[in-house]
Amino acid sequence: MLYHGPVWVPNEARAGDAKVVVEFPAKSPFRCFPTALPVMIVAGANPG
Amino acid sequence: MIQPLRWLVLGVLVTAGLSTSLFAQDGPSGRGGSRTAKKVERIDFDKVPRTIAKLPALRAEKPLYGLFLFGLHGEKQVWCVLDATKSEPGCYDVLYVDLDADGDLTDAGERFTTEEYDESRSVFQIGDFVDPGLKGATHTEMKLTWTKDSFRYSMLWRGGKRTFGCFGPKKEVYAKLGSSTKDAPIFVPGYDRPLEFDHWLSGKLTAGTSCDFKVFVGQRGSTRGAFSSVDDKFLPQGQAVQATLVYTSAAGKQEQVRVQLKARC
Repeated sequence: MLYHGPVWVPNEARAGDAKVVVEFPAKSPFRCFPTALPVMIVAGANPG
Repeated sequence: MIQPLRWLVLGVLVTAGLSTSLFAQDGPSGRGGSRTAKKVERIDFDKVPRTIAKLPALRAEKPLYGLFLFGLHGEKQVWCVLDATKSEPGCYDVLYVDLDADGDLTDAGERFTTEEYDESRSVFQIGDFVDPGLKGATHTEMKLTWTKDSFRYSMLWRGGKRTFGCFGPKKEVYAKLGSSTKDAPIFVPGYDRPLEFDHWLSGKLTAGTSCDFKVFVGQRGSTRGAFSSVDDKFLPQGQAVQATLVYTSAAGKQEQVRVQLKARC
């Protein structure tokens, strides 16, 4: 029931609050309310 | 000149992207591409009335309440009240569903009983359900399940694709029925309205890694755990969901990474 895929989080991303805006692509035949989902970025093993 | 343009584009994206109103899905399947004349807005759950005009005499020690919104604007309220034939704690074998959304739960045909129940679980088969808000729409195989830890519902929207719930970013926040109308969760099943999204176990991302970002597609409810989803076969093959990670770089600038979520599970 889920739609998913890899999201690359750059090394330079600062740890803390961020968001993922989810929507249909511009050419999609489906209508949506783009949704800003709050996420947390944590530092990786090799912080830039 | 590049930097101001970049911020202008980002501003337009955020402003347009998070607009609170849109146009309805076209046609009875809710799948059409062209826009209809009907403007549809995000539902303001704080403005939804929390009263039931007429209730039957309830026998359960602790009746439980949930509310479904139907209609393109969520204007039709269908209350569900879980009750029992006996006043034994924890056993629910009666369900009232305000099928015609008139606020009167004493109407004939709105009391459902089940033999499929025990102290931990009750399953109610409602069957066909004539939508009180969408003219000519009948949903089929409507089923509601209560357990001690959850509330689940499922139906074939307009007899077609499945819509079900309730979901949220993690199982711990999945909505449960409320002990009163005031704390009843509100659900918005179906896909005639513009769709919304929530993530599943994807709230923590690690810098310098690739994270599998998972989303539900459907309708937001009154809480994060009251999301009504479509299934992973809803979108035709080749159609994807787009996700844009907006983050702050080490230099303090707002940056973004855009991807297509093409996989399904």
